[in-house]
Amino acid sequence: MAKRVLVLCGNGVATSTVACKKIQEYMANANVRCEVIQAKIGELASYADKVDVIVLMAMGATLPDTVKTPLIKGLPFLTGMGLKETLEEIKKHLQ
Amino acid sequence: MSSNQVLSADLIISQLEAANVKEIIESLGNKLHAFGYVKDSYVPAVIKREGMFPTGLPLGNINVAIPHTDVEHVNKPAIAVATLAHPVSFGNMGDSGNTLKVSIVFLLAMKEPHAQVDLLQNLVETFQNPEVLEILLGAANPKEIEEILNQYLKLKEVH
Repeated sequence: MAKRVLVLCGNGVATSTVACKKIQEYMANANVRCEVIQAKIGELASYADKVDVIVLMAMGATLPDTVKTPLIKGLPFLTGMGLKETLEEIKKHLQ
Repeated sequence: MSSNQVLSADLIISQLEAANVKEIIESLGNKLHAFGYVKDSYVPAVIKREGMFPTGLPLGNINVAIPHTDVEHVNKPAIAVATLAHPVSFGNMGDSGNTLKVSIVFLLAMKEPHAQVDLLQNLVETFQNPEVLEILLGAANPKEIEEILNQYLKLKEVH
């Protein structure tokens, strides 16, 4: 089964859309099969256990301690700084 | 303006004099509201969200903020833009609790996220280019800002 990455933002509409597209493109080029899911912070509970890595776009948010899924900060998707490293980090969790 | 155009000089303010985040969101949000892009609930919703999840992006000398909110407050997609006469403190998206000085604000009114993915991607890539930010900040009026952005965002035909 393809591994899953969950992209979370405050409203699941703007910043996470940009990150989803970048992740899809990058993983396709790297031949990494994965499913990219986009959701709002409030919807986290329904996904947290079912994904392999979480990318957090709403950096002001804190996730409950019960979430043990690896968490990656998504700011580089918006600033471009450190983007390659962030994508590689996500890739590690999807292989 | 054409109903399919998400960016227009009517939705742009150059050299806005504003003291704080709320004033900026109100000035830009009222424009979106006047042209029917957003509902009455949009401006308060954006201000509230900006308090919870700040959108100031640390980009370097010229920082940008991208306030936005849930799709339910939006009638049709648009982007309102302001260059600020003086930088204004926004919460730092990457470092909650800290602030940064923002010079250009893109107020996003998004309706269907997937339909606007190219536009959002182009927008993000545009403000990752310090030269473009420099040019935008130096623009004399809304029309000039519109032309610069259209050139970089290739927005003309985006629906």
